[in-house]
Amino acid sequence: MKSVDLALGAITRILIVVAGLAALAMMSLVVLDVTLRYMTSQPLQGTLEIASYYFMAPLVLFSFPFVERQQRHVRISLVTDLLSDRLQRILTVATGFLSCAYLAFFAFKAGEEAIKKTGIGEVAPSLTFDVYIWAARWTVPIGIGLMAVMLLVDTLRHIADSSEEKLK
Amino acid sequence: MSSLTIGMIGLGCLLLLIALRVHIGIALGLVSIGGLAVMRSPQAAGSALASQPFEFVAHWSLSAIPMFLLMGAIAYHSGMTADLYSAARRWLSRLPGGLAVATCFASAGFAAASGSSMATAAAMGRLAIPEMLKAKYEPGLAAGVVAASGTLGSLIPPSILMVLYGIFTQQPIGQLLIAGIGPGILTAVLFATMIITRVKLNPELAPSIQEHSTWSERFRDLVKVWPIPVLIAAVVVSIYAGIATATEAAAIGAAAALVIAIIRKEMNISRLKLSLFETLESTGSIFFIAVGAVLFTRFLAFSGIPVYLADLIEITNLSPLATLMLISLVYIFLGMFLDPLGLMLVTLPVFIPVFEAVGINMIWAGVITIKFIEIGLLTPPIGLNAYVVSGIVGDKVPLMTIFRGLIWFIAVEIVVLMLLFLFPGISLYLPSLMQ
Repeated sequence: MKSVDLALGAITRILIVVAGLAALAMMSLVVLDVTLRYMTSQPLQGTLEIASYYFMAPLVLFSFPFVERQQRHVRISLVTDLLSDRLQRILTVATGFLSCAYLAFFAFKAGEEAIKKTGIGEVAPSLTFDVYIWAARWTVPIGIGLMAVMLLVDTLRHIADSSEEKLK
Repeated sequence: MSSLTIGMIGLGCLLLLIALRVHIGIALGLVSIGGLAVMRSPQAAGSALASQPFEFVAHWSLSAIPMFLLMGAIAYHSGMTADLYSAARRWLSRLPGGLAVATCFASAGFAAASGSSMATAAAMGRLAIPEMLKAKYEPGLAAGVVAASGTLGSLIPPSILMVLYGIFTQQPIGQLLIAGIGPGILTAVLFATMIITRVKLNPELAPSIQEHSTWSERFRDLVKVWPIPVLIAAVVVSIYAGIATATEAAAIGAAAALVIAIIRKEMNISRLKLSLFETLESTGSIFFIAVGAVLFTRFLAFSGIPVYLADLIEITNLSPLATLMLISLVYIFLGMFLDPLGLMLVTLPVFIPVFEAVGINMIWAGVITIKFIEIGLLTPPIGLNAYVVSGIVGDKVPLMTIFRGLIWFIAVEIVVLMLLFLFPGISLYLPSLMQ
């Protein structure tokens, strides 16, 4: 379990670095575009497409596993806090598996779509040239898939911890 | 089973899953996919998942959200909050409840750099609450003013909630952002008036502090807050004057904050990393819910619930004002249990057709909706701004004391809401000049 955890941590770190660079790149590209538009009346062609597909997609989707690792996705524990410890544990495991199943299905469907779009070499037409966007499609199965694996590991760890406590 | 019934069951399941501590984003997605599979077909549900989230995320207008978040994070980590509070304190501390009034206006100033209520409350809380407690301010007032003034972050532009409202209702984001200025300033002024009046009537709430500042000290501190007008110029003025779109203004604002931080020698690699991590953490958590909300909107549209509700309102012949009042009850009730983003994204698909059916101006409705959501941030049991403040003060101020201190601010919020209801011009005058 520990090695899986280390591997997940390493992948999450790589993805978050990519997401951070995408944020800085998007900021710089848009500022450059606006500056050029005002100074030379010649905006950078394809800014909108590149910012949307190549910067926004990794920025957002690669941050999902990072947020999961930091346990910062929004959950409301008002009702569950009122339940007994045992019931809380059962609920955590049940909702964990349910969430995993949803995310796995989500990643699978997005992966199918990514394969399809890669096959046809999907492009977004810009004013002067076509921007290839099929590569950006892969951010969905990667981000969501990694989150699904993380949730699965967390849920399994929860079961293991509960069994250990029982043995004690 | 009719689609409407499936829709109603779906809404029930959503609330149940949220109550069972499932991620709000996952709860929204699960219900939507399950509902679509039953109403349409499993293939239709699958194809919604395959393409919709990507098309939503890879969206030019939405890039304003991470950029506004980055701008706020850089502003905070480069010490702008501290300078703002220090200047506000020098100028306002001699007023009754001066430190609380200073907190209120410093929050309004920081709101011009930050697009989030909770970020504004967290930034200001770390500085202002210890100062107020040291000056023997009543703990409820000290914590309450930070939690309540934090809500200005979502009204005074930039505002993440306004951007999302604009995307989901297809309204001009620039006009929406500008529409928040009047209500934001009004709220800050009324908060300050309430604090001064309360302290005048009961000076024990906030003993006056023996701090004398010379005029040169005041002006020296005032000069240090120059980044805020620059950021206002970068964002608000550029949108207002039509120099940049709201999306471009967000990137310009983030870049301006970074350049200012470098000029002031307040930026280094570790601060930049911190700002980026904070930005990505908030972006991820916002978008994960928003992706679920996109799927949920599709599910609700197929169920016919929004149209059903709109027809119901039309039959009853309710006036726009009465409709908004009715909707306000739903928001105030749900606001007690849901987080602000979840609340907005769950309710908008249901209420947008209702707003349209009774002919409510959608920009005005946006401001009112944000106000409802802000009140939800202050009301127990899930008043998230109160929890943010509680996280800062720890055991020094019990949560119940914070909620008690917030009662006065909620009363002011209700007065502001009434004024916004009765005088739509407060919200709509500035955007009308842009058309």
